[in-house]
Amino acid sequence: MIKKMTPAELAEKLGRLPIPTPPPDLLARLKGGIPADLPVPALPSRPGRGFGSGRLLLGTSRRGFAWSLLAHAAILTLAAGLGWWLRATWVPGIEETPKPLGIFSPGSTAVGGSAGINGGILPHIETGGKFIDVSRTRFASFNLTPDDGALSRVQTALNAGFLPDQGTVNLGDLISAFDLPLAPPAKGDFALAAEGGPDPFNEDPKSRLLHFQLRARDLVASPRLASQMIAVIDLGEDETTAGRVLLVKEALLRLIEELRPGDKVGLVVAGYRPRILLDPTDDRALLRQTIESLNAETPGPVLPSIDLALDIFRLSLGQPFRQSLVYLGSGAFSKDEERQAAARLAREAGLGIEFSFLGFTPEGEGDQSLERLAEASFGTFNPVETQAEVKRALLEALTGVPQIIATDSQVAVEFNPRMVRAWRPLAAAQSGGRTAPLRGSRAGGEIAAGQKASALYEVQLTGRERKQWVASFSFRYRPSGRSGFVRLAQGLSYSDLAPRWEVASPSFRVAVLGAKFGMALADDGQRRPTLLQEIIVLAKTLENDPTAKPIAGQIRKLTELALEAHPRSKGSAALVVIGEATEPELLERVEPKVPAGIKGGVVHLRVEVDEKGLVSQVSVLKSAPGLGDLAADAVRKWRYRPAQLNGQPVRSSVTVALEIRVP
Amino acid sequence: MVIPGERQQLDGRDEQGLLEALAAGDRAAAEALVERTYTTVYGLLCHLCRGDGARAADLTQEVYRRAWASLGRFEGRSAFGTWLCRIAYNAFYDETRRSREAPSDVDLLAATLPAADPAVDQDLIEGETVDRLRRAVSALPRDLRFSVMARFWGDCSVADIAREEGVTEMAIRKRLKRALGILSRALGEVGP
Repeated sequence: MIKKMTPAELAEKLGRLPIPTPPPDLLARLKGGIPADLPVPALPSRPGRGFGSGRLLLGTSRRGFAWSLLAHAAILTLAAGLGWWLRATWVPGIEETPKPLGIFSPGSTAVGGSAGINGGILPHIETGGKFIDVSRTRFASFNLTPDDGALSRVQTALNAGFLPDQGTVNLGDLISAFDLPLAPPAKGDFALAAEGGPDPFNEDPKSRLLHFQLRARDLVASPRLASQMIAVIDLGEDETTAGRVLLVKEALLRLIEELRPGDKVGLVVAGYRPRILLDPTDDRALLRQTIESLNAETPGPVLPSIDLALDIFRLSLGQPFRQSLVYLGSGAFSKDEERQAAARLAREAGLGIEFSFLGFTPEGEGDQSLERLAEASFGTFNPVETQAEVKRALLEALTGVPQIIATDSQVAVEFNPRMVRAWRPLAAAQSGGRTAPLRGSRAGGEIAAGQKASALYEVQLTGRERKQWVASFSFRYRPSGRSGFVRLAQGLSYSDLAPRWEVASPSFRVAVLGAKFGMALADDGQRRPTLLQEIIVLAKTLENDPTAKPIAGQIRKLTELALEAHPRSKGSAALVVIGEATEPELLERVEPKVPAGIKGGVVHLRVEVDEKGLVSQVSVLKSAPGLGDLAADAVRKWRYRPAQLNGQPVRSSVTVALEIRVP
Repeated sequence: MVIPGERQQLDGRDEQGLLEALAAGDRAAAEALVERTYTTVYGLLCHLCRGDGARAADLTQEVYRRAWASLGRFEGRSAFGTWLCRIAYNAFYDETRRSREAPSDVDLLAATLPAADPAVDQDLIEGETVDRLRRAVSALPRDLRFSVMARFWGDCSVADIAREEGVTEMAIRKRLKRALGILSRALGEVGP
C-alpha cells in the first residue's frame, strides 16, 4: 500500500522509478531503422548562439533569439486553447466575428495534439521580425507578468556608460515599464484598454501600431496586525544565480514603501559569513541604506543565517506582532545542511512564525530543498523570477494577505483578417534577430493586485474595408478562490485608430517611444544614433503633456544617455551590467585607532570605491556604540583595486564588516 | 535492470558535435545518438505503458522512425533528448487514441486506486506504488503531464522543457510544483 508522500518525496521517487532493461535486440533494431538518406537537421548557423544559450545574467531567465521562436509556439498553443471561447466572446463594437480557422476549432486533430512532431500541436512559426500572415494565425498573446526589473537593468547599464547587452533588452518588459499607468478599474478586477495609431518611424500608409493594456485592481487597504519580518538573503553568488541580489534589492526597496506604522523589517544575510545586517526596525532610511548596500559575496553556509533570524524572533516572542521569516536564495544546500535546517524549522514551527521560501535558481535545482524546508516549517515555497513576484511574495509574508487576485489567466489578441493582412509583435527583432520578443503568456497565469501588462503590435492593413474592427483584446481569468471563469473583451475598430501621430493619445505615444527606445538599443547597425535622436525630438514634444511628462522625460534622458553610451566589446557578454562586474579588491588596509576604555565590537559599513580605487564615501550601517566613526575614519584611508566592468574601472560599493578588538 | 541514477546523461557539447556531424551526413553520428538516448526513451515509454516492455520497445522504434522522418524540422531549440521525449509522448498518445484506451480523461482519484490487474513489474518490490504513480501521472491535467514526464522520466532539464514547450522556465517550475501537489494529494487520498 502506498503511503502519503510529500511533493518533495514524490519528485525524488518519480525520478528514480526503476526501468526494466531494454530488450537486447532493441538497439540493433533501432540502428537498423536509420534510413539511408537522413534529412539534414535545421540547426542554427551559429551553434550555441541565439538559441537560449546566452544566459541573462541579471535576472534568472534566459533571453535571446529563442524567445522569438518560443513565444510564438506559445502564442499558437494558447490560441488553440482560446479559439473555442473567442468565438463566443462578446466584443463591444464588433458585430461580426469571423469563424476561427479550422485548426483552432474544438475537436480538430490539431487541438488534440495528435499530429505534429515539433510541439505536437501546431506548426512552428519563426518570426525573426517577420510579419505573420493572418491566414497563418490571427491570434496573438503576450506576457501578463512582465519583468519589471527590465527598466532598472537598462538604467544601470546606461548610468555606467554602456549600452545594455542586447540579450537583456526584452522589449515586452520595457514597454510595460514605460507605460502610462492605466487607471485601475472602477469596478471588477481588471481594466482593459486598446488603442492604435500610426508609426512615426514608418511611412508605409498601411502600417499601424496597436497598443493593448491590462491593469489589475489594487488591494483594498484593510486593518491588520503590525508585522515583523526578517528577510534572510543568500548573497552567495555563483554563475547561475547572478542577478538575484539586484532583484532582491529592488523588491525590498519597493516593499519598504508599503510598510505601515508598527511594521518592522530585519535583514540577515548568508554570504562569506552569516550575519545580522539589521535588527528589525521601522526606520525606513536605515532600511533603504542597508538594502542598497547589499552585494553579492563569496558563498558560505546558509543554515547559520536562518539560525540568527530565529534567534531574533526568540527575543521578541510574545509581542503582538505577526512574525514572518522569508528566505530568499537558491536553496542550494548540502544534504546535511538541509536536514539540520529542516529539523530546526520543525522545532520552531510552533512559535507562531510564518515561514516563506523564495527560490531563484533558473533550473530550479534548489526547489526540492526549499519545498522540503517549507513542509518542515508548515510554510510556503514559491519559485520566483521577476521583481514583481519577489515583491508580491514579500508583501504576502509581511501582511499575511494573499496578493493574487486571479489565476489561470490568459490573454489573446485577435486580428480581423478583413482588416489586417499581417501582424507582428513589435518586440520581434528588427535586426540581427537577437532581441527577445514578448514572452508567451501561459506562464503561471497568476495575477497579483496592481499588476499591469501591455503589448504593442505592428499590423499591415489590407486597405480594403475600413469600417470594421481591426483587433479584439480578450482576457479570461479565474477570480482567486472562485471556481468559474470571467471573460472580458475590448474591441478596437478602424475609427478608433488615431489618424496622425500628433493626435494620438499620450499613452499610445509613450508606449511607442518606449518600444522604439528598446529597439534602438537592440539595433547594432548604423541606424541607432539617428533613431535615438528622433526619439529625443518626439519625447520632447510629449513633455508638454502633463500626464505623459514624467515618463516622456525619463525616456528622453535615457535616450540621451544611450547616445553617449559605449557599446560593449564583442565577447564580453558575461559582463552585462554592474552585477557582473569584478568586485573591488582591497589592497591597503588601515586599522582603526582604538582609544582606551572602549569596548570592542563589529561595525558594518558601506564603502563607495571610485574608479581610482580610492574610498569616496563611507556610511555606517550598523555599529556597536561609539565604534562607527572610528571604523569609518580608518576605512576612508583604505585603497582598493577598483571594480571592473567590461575591463574598465568603474565606481562600486562594498559592504565591510569590521571587527574592532580591544587589545 | 537499469539503475536510473546511471542513465546516460548527454553532454551538451558532445551532442552538439554529433548533431553537426549528422548535419554533415555522418550516419555513425545517428547511431551514436541512438545509443545515447534509447534507454531513456524506452524508460519513458515503459512508464507510459505502465511497465509493458514489449509495447514500449515497439513504440521506441516508432519514435525513432518519426524522429528520422522529421529530422529536417529539428532546429536545436531544445536538446535532442527532449525533442525525442516530445515525440515519444505524442507517439504514445497517438497510439492509445487509436486503440481507444486513452487514459487522458480518467478521473485522477480513480486512476490512483489500486489496480485490479497490476502491471507487469513482477520483479519490483514496490510494484503497486510504481504502477499507481505512473497512472497518477497519466491522469494529470494535459498541460502538466508532459512537463512531469519529461523532467522525471525523460531526464530533461527545466530549461530544455521550457524551450520545447515554448514557455518560460518559471512556467515549467510552476507546473512541476502544481503537478507534484496534485499527485501528492491524489495519492494521499487513497492510501491506507
